[in-house]
Amino acid sequence: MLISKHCHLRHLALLFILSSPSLLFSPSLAEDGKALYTLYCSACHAPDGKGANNGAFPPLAKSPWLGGTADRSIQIVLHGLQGEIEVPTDKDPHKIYNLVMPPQGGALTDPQIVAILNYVRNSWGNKNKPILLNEVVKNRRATAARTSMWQGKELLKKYPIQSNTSAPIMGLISEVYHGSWKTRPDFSKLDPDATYEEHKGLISIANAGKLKSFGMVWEGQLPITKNGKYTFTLDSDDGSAIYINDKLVTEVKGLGGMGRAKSGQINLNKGLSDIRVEYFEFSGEEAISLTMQGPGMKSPLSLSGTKPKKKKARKKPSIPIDPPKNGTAFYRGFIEGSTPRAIGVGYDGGINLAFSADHLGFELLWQERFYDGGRHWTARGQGNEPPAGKNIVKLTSLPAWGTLNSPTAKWQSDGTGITKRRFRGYQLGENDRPTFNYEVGSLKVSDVPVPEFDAKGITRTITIDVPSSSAPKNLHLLICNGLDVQEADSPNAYLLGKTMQVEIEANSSVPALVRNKELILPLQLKPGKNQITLRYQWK
Amino acid sequence: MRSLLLTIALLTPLFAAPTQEEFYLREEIPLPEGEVMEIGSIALMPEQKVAVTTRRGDLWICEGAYQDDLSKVKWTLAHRGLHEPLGMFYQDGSLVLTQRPEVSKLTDTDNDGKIDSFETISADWGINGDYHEYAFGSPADKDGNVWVVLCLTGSFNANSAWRGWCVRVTPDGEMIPTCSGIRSPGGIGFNADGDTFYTDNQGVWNGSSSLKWLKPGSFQGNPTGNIFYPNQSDIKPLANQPNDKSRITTERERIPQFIPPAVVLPHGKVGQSPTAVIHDHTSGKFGPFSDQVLVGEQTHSEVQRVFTEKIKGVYQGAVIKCLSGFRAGIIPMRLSDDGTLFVGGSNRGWASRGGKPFTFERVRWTGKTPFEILEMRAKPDGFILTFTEAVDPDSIKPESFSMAAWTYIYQSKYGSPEVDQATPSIKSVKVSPDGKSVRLYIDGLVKGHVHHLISNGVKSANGGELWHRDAYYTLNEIPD
Repeated sequence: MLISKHCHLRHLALLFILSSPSLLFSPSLAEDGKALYTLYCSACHAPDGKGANNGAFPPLAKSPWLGGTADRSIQIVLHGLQGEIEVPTDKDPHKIYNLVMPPQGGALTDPQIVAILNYVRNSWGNKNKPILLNEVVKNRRATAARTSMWQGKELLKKYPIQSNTSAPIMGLISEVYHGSWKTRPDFSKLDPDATYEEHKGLISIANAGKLKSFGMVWEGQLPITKNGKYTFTLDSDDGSAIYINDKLVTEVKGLGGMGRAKSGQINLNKGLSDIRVEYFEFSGEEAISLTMQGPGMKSPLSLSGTKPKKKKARKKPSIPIDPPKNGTAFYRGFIEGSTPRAIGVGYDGGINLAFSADHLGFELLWQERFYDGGRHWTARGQGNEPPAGKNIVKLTSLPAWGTLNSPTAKWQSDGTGITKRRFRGYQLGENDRPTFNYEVGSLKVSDVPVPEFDAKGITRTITIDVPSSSAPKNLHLLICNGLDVQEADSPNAYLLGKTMQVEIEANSSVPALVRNKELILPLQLKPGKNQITLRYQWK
Repeated sequence: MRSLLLTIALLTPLFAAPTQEEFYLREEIPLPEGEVMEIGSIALMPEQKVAVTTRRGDLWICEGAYQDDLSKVKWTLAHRGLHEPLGMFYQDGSLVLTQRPEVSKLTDTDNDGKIDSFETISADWGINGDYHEYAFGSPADKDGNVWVVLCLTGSFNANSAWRGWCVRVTPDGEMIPTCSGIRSPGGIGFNADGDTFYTDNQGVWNGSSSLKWLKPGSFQGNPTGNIFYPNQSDIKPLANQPNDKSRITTERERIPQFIPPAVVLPHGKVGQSPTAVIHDHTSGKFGPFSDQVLVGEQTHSEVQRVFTEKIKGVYQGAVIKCLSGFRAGIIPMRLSDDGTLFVGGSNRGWASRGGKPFTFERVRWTGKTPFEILEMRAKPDGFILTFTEAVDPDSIKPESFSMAAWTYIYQSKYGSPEVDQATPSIKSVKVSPDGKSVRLYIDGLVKGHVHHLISNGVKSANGGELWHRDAYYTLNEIPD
């Protein structure tokens, strides 16, 4: 019975469609928010609004991002959103996403956006007042010139999330900076490592994720109920400063513990004032406290949170990559410190290198752990990741092969007179150790690194095959740039920076050129095979 | 009239709606335990071996993927440490791989199951560290060339050499810039005639995703990469740059090299992120769709079927949904000579309906032919449909079909709404003597528009219903 009833309905529906086909496609038909959401949004945000793939994509259900002003949601739909954002999920109240929502303003009409947002803003437990067409029209007009997606932090600054109206500071955002400073740095010249919404509206270092060598900057808006003179009292370990409406009010300078409180006064008008607090922690204990006193206030209002529990750093996803026993690991993703075509090689035994297939040179050497795939192997895998290990030495950052017409000529970033550099790949030998092959002009080069575990270094044997007709003149090999170079005690050996020594063995009588932070080997090549050996060793 | 139709409808024999399981058997292939197998490319090898690469850069060889009992598959790790490979094929004992920085030839020279030779064939395009600078590579064409489509930087800019271009890499490593106008590809392959097609994703200058024909020398629509025309000499730069907020049909008049998308895959309705491009070369081993193109769909975890024809020098045709229910977002596909379709996928960073983080699956035809629209060809005054089985002539009436048409704004903004809506009207229909073709006579076809045909009333001679009722034909040209 159930089946026939089902079919009956289906035929009725069919009749309806047949009798009025134009209705189906009429653009004037009121837009159906749920249908549009299902069509265009549900792939990522999931039909139940909880974020696709068990919350691997940001949920919309009960999201504070939808609350308050509708402008924030409208702007995200119109122009898209990228970069790190924090969205609470069922499992993690501080879940961080770093994905891309493409802009939909070009694809969706204003009535479609209204329908989708009204559906989203009032489904799955969300309750918000309906938005009107003119709000979308107004938003579209106001940001018509915008061509880039919103960055999470930028959007929140313009449309702060006020999850708690009793929060002392509204729309408070904190930024965490990694670095070691003994005086307060110019944060405007630094890039934050993380950005958080401080829902409680209190200055707190709970989100620092570290106990030393970090800085934080908080920005938000302070509601002022009466015109008058206000006093701010700041204390911190180590230094800090408070700005109100871009004016420095007071500052706790340099390194030191709590108990160095400083106060400052400023006249404020009723309404919202911009507040910015800067803080840095060198080492040892860490804390900050801030209070405000003003007209009509019985006692000072605390603007800072309680001292955080020693919370562990929010872990970046970590996926260690290690060489197999007696084997060799390879990594070709984007390695910080070398070029996009870097090839990371990790030998079992804790010696590692990065060969640049762009520059045809050894650019990085390091010890111990090889690499961490956590950055590149989660979400979309943006950015460069440095080697995982220790004692990283950056040998070169320019094309390694070039011609120099005089010993003082500049080493050019475009390869110094070499018309053709061509990487040809690598062969794996015993224990999967690679031999790199490449061409420099008409020369064929094979470049063989061998790890020296006892001597803590790498021996690199370069064989240059020169065709009988054309031994090139003035060809040079860049061994190091960017590090202080000094002659070492033994002949043909040089100290590169503080930790690395290189010993050069070439069948040539011409010594290497030691220049300002450069070590360059002139090559006297003969037709046939020419061999150079470089022994790199950590000191 | 209404009650009469209702009566007829109720008297019609009732058949259960066709389901995929009747026609195609989809099976998950067990993966090596504990491994993250986000499959980005597949190559079919001799002796029924199948090679796959992962987004993390691993290369695995699978044995037993053709056997009935999939629990016996054996996986061998051939290498770890490639850079996001998105295209692979087997050739003369080697695997030729398109990875982010280069086209490479990988060989196991000592036959121990591990790759020990990595020969760089070409690394002549730019990469700058941006994760979105993907490179998708084709199998070898008839001249042995690998076609590579190079995604824009961040999918918006051309900050590295040849971003937004299709290049061909010859067997001796020469890189030949071939087409400009690419935005964000998802896959590349050949049709049955050996012409090269790729999928490009909805975004800037792409009102919708589509399947595009890479005619050498052509412009594919996104002008960002046009800055590289002066860096080559084989192709004449465009006489005009495209106008913003226009229509493709309008801009084609101004830019002769502009090849319109062969088949638009309407955004949302058909999919959101098309990927692999292959064609059915099996002469019937994979069902009735010989020589047609199959397109992967990442977001919807589907495989779609495309029929194309060439009218006035450009390809056009229809997309019809085909297979669904895959467990992750589809990226690569390969179809073996025996009619086994291999599908791999991942949903890391881009969501998909299939909720698993990664999958490897195979699909085989059960031998039962679905009642489907096999071909949809344009006529000056309508379309002609060919079905896989004879139709019930009584079910073929003008009101058994409905049609809507629209196009997209061709613009620098991301995507486009459906615009310029039209409602072509089906005036009359005619069934061929063998019952397998139906001629639709239509008023109001619109050049350049997607024509969405819904065949709700059509029944087969046996009373069966169509497996898929919706066909979306992109009418770049109306035939004379």
